[in-house]
Amino acid sequence: MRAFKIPLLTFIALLLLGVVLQFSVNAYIQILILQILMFGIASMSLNLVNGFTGQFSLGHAGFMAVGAYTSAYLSQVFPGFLEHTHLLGFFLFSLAAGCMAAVFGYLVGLPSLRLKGDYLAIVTLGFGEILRVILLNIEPLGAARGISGIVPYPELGFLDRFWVSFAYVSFWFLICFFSLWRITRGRFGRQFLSVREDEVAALSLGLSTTKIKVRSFVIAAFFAGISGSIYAHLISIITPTIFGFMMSVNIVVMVVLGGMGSFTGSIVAAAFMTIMPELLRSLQSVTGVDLRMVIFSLSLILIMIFRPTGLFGELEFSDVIKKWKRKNA
Amino acid sequence: MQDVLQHLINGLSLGSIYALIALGYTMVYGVLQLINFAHADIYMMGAFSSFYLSRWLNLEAHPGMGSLVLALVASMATCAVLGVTIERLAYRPLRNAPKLNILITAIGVSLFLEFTAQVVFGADPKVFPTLINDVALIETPFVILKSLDVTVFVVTLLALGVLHYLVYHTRFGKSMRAISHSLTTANLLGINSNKVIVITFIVGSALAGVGSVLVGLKYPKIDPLMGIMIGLKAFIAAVLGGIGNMTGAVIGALLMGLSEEFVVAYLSSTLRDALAFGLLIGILIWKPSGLLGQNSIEKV
Amino acid sequence: MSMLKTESLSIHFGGLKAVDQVNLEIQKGQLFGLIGPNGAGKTTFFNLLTGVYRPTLGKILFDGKDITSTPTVERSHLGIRRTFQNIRLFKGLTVLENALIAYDQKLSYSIFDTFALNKKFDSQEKVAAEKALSLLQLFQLDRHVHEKAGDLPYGAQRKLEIIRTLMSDPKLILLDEPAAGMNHSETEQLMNLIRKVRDDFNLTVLLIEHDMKLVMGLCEQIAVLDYGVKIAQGAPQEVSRNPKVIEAYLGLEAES
Repeated sequence: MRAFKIPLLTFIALLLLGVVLQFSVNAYIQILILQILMFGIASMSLNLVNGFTGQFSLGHAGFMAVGAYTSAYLSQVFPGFLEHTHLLGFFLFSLAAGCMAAVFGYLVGLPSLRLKGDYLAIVTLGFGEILRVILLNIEPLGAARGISGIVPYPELGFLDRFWVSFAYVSFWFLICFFSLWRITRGRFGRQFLSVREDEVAALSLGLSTTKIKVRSFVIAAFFAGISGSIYAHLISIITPTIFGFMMSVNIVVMVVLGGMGSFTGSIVAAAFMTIMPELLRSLQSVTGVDLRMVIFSLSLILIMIFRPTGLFGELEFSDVIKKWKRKNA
Repeated sequence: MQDVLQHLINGLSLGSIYALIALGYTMVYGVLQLINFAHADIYMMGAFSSFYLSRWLNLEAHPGMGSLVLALVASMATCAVLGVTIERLAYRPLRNAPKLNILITAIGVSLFLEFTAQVVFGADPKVFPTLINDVALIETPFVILKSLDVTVFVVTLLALGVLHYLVYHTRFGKSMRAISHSLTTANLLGINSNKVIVITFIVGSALAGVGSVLVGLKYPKIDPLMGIMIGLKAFIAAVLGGIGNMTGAVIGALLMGLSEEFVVAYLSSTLRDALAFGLLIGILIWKPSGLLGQNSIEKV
Repeated sequence: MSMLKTESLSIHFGGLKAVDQVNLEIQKGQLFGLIGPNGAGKTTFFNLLTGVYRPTLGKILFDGKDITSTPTVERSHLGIRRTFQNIRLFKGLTVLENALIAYDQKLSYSIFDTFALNKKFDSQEKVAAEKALSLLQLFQLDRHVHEKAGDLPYGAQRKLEIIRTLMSDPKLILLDEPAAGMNHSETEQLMNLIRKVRDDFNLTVLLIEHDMKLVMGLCEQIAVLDYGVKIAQGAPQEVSRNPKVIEAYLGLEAES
């Protein structure tokens, strides 16, 4: 049972934190917190591909779109199902969303992962764009209007909507975090790393690099799908354009900022990238124009030049604390 | 069936514009193995500079060769300066950094230009002035050849001619080709690679500047995000022809222009943007090195 | 019993016959040396044996099985492991990780076992780590276990590459200039190690060197390549007296 002890304890701690947050912060901050968890799932999973496996994917938002549309469409077609099953229904829809995204991950990954570096980046970017164009043309999925009025997470008895949403999203967040953490610590983690380090050597050691890359891609796509499904039910409206190039770039930035190969770094960066634009909102009253994106892009360039390994580099948050303690001891 | 010739002209005209932009991608890729994401936005800035110059000098009142040349010069100069500045400030400090970092920097520069332009110029599209009178030079029941298309062809051919001279008949061209082949060897041979890279950025960006004016004339609406789609398509054209290969870029661009024109004419206009990416994925699966690219064998 | 046999193995790059009509037979348990001047086609020959290149002509038999069109990965699973002339370690990973990656094909736990952190996962990882540590000890790299492979001194990197070939009980290991860049005493030590692992693990070893002296002292059988063609084969003493071999080497020295 040692496998479930820490995740379970963490989950209970988060449930309690949810109670605290429910009473201590306002709805605006509550939404931000939920978004941080959602983008945390997206950025952690992309880190598996970009950080651990060394493949550059620029189409992560595309997989989120697949998940979001799957979940939203299902809840539109079977509205009664969610009413009767409550959270179990949402769970099943998220699962379906993740699986659908994983299938797309496989279909995109298999042919394109033979390509290296920039080429892969362009193909994954192309996937996102093609998906957007296709979604724009599918009438049952709302075409350009998208899908709106998506069922939000319910209130359960005396438990209010924020708490339930927080519990539900935390649940997936922890599944994502612990799955990725553990996958990367045994032979599968070493396989990913070997592909990142030297493909020719990996092949000579009997590792099928294409299979490994596709596996990394499929796992990442699955969690991107979950994250997309959460997005749909949290924000309750989705359109093809939301999940465009900018969102993919945003997630890549979270990965790079947090440090390639550091899951906890990705989470911290997801929080930073979600909160920062909100803090900068007040700047607009001074300057009169919205400079947030200018600042965002400029800091992106500066970070790349002056801190290319991101906040944590390859270290996890726990390593950073250990290091800091040693320094101050 | 009688439209075929007309579509051919339109497709070639569109293709020549793609070619001018694609060359910048392919040249920079040749020397740095970098997808210069900002290239499309350099192009956008070129369009705006010629737009403001035309407005300032009221060029629209005197359409003709003179106005066109002025607009071209303004755009080329802006693009060249911008290209060099970006290379110097953003790319050079990262010359030896991991590829991913440089790629993200390039995306960052691209976004910076787009968002800054939105703040400075406003997000709304602006109408590009008519710098030459668009009259039909040849008019038959099957086909109309307009002066605008002729201008596009002539200017493109001139630009390509100059480029050809630069690349194959000057010291710079020789050095550039040497660097494309191998940066380390070129450095060993005493080639000042930084200088060559700077000139490559100047030439590539100036070509995009030419392209931006031609686009402004042909599709007279410009906005800060105008570079994104055309830039991606031009890049795909470069990949199609074999990235790093200049002849390939031109051929790829013409193919791209033609196939786009025909798909829109005979299939559906919603497929316009998906086509480019479909082509890209097709070529990368079928022949990743592009039409004229060479397969490189990795040394083990 | 032959472990490896090539029949008129050839590869042509355009007009260049990098390896041409090479017939070679290596017996089980043999320490076989492949020598020749620089550019003779030795590394290309390795690339053919490991499936990096497909031969233009000819056949490769491994342990009695035709592997001419078997992909690299499967050849590795069959028991052919190699090192690289220009060292291809996973430089950013630790020494231990480098060794463990090479053990991968021996592990059978699934991705769900890693989620569950169950017994299967634990016990297999433990066996893997023990195997890695024992080899690291044998090659005296155990002090460096948690260092990054890229930070090791040159000689240690070469040794780590050899360890990687040994992790999954191979039948045949191909060593591409294992002693390159080592000093005399290091080379001596390495030769003894190679002999020892051959005996302890029942291996067949094929190694490339262009330093004749090293090969003479170590190998039981030697073949000489020149311009892609096998010009001689035999016991070390025989080969070193062969006029063709002397010419190939002297000719090169006279040129340079």
